[in-house]
Amino acid sequence: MSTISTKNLQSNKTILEDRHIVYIIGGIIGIFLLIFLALPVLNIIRLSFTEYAPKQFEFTGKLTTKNFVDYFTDSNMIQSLLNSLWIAVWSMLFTTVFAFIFAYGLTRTTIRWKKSLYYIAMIPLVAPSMLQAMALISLFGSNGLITSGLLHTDWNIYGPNGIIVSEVLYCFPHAMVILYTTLSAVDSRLDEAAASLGASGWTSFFKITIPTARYGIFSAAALVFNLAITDFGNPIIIGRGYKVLATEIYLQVIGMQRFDLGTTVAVILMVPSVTAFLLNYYFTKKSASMISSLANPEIPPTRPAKKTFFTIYSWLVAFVLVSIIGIIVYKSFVKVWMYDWTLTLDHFNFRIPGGLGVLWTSLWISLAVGFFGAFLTMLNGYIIEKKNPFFAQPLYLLSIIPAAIPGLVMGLGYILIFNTRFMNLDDILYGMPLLIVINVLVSNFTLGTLSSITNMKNIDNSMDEAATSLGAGITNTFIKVIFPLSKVSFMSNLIYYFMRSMVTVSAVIFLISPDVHLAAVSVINLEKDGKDGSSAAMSTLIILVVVLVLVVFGFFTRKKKDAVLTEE
Amino acid sequence: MAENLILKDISKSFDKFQAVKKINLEVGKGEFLTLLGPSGCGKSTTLRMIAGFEAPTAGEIIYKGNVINDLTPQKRNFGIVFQSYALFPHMKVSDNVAFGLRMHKYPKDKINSRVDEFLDIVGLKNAKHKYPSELSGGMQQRVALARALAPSPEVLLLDEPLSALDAKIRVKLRAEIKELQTELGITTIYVTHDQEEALAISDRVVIMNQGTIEQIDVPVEIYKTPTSKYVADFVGTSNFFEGELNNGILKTKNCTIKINSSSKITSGNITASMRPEQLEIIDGDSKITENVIKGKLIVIIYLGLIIRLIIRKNDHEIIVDILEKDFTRMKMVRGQDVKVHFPSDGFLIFNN
Repeated sequence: MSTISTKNLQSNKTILEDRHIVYIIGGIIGIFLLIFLALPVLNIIRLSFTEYAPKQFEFTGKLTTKNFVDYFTDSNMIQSLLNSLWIAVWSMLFTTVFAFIFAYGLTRTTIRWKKSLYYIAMIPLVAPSMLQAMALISLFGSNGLITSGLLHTDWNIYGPNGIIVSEVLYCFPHAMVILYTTLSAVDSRLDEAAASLGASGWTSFFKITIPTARYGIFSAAALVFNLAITDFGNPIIIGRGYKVLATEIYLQVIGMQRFDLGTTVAVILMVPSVTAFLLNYYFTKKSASMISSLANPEIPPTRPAKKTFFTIYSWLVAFVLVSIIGIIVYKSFVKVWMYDWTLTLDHFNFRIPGGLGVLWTSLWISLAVGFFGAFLTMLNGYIIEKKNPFFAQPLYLLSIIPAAIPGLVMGLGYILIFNTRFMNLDDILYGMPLLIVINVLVSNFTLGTLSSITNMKNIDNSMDEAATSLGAGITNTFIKVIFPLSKVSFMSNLIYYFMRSMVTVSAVIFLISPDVHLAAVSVINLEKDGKDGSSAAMSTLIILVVVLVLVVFGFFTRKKKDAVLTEE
Repeated sequence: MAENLILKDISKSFDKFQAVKKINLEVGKGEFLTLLGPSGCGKSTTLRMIAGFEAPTAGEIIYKGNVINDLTPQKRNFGIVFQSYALFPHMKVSDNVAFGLRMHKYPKDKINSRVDEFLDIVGLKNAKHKYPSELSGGMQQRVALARALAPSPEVLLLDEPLSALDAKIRVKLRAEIKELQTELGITTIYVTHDQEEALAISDRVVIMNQGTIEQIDVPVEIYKTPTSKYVADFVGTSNFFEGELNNGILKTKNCTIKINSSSKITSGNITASMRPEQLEIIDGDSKITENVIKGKLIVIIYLGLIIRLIIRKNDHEIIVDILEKDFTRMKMVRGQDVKVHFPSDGFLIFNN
């Protein structure tokens, strides 16, 4: 015994103390977020208050409120704000209602095939966000299958209506997940108690179900509002001159080199998006406090009429969601949409810079984002939740901010600070799409960190302490105990990051360069060039890659999950 | 003395809440010491400070003559067993036990032999290749014990190790822990809120209350001569009588009792306490008239060897334990009137 203690005393000096390691790693993550999150965003706010010389394409450095005054006095400009709000509000209302009914059917009725329906509802997540718009145009556009092919009408879906429908289809899974969690967490025995006290089905629905799920509903609504108002892909494709804030930023910057207007509109866009994020965050916390550990998974038999309604509704929604993807996949094999229905592989011969290579670029960038993102957010969650250093609160705050910042604003922030002649990170690492990797990683840092924190909460504190008291330092504890226990969470974060990275457009559209092209961005460019067959083909390939990777990783995760379940 | 573990004026605050208030404690080598108290009394916090998971806000933890406040848990070489077992679910039993040995860089063959040795000691040689989830709670806690002991810690810390187990296994395992501890002669600090467990297993018991120590003593003294009303109430069951003491006569709201006590307290507002087994039920024709209270028998609780009677007199309830055979002989039924005798020399006196 005494030999061990003397050995320990000797090693006293050489080993870096655990808490210093926490400070160093936490500090690195914090500084990383300050540089790649706080700095670009604050810089945009600064530039929006700076005078701009349009002819020289330069900010003069003089402080001014002229940009905002110009924006709010020009009725043409202010229209983009009103349009965005219009789109976001309607998308929010429709999506929340549709998703609620769907989630209700899955959680509170005895309809069949629930698992399949749940997965079908998630389908929009595997596709780039302009896919909905592309599919709608193929069906209801001026040359659409239904509008011109079937009904021979001149009516078409371009403009606000098209954007709203696209957003509803795009935001559906996001809202559905939240409502599904809420409804399955609220104790359904409350309904039974109400029924036993004499309440009818409708009464208990409005007096019990809706009120107990209200925070989940608000949280889903706020999230949809945020997604819809910040989305870029759908409005740029189907808007046809209907200006919204997100497209306005892009057009002002890329089209006219008006960085002053770009940054100003970016700041204006951040106001509703940050507000919606804060509301979403607040309601999510509230909702979590209502979750009952006694939630009863058993559902009493549903009345036949009710069951029929929910079955029809759910499969109708499923049909629509599958059709959106299906129509695009089909279109990628059709020679000329509406004119020549012969099947062909011509569209997969991409005549764009980079060719098919853009897909591989996207793939390996996404894998890099997936691994780094999952690893970094896991470390971050470990430090915040388990190690709780003195800077845990600010680090947590920095980690959840990204969800509040529209991707487009982040992208603009990056080119304005890292792609200038003073500091060009892409020059430093020539040809490496480093900025894109960092941008996607930071843009999606919130959900990664939050899910990692939840995972850490599920690991008993005494695990960490047991390892420590047995002589393991923080590095050994992390590698031998925490990491193996977090594999499932690591994998799902990896998949999440990978998917986001494959399909994101708004975050990276400013960051592509002649050297680095991405598949999702190419879809937009092809579609805008009128090569809708090729854009459909590229979308099909993106979906294919995402699904393949999902299946491969899902296979591993499934096995791990089973192992963990038996361990509990 | 030099080998002792000493807590000197130890305090611990969490924000504004003071969990431990300037406590002093000395644990001898090889001693089995139990920290006993209700939840929130600071017993677990004290243990966690000894383990090194929490740093004291003030005071010193001294081990073998050195202040170890700043020593990390890894360097203290104290073993700890948790209420939740805290076995690593992704490792086999043998890997769990080997974990500490590997961390302390034992040679490979030594690790194997020690894993076998300690699994044998806790009677789980056959479970070597199983995962923790395949074992019952009691077996898991044995593995945790083997894991904590394998790297030869100098002090063993047990944080409510039996609380998650069911009653039968709890009693069985606590006897095994005691046996093992005696055999290894390892200094042990045990935390529990179960007074029966504490009295059964410990060399000395520390009663804690709201961050302070109420009493430190061997189990029998804790039970027989509690030094405060709190201890008398917390450990075992007591009947309390509050009132004015004067010349050996206690006047309470309901009655007058004669007290014959060696206590230094002879007068004033006091509480007198008496254990239920010291009270007697007397027959109607008994000659004893002093210290007799007549009341109504309202509850009869069958405890096996003894029967606990709850007797009501006005709004006061008196608890009396009698042997089962006496209960049967007296043919008592619920609702009847009974006479209870308080032997005047059986009282303990506490100041209010």
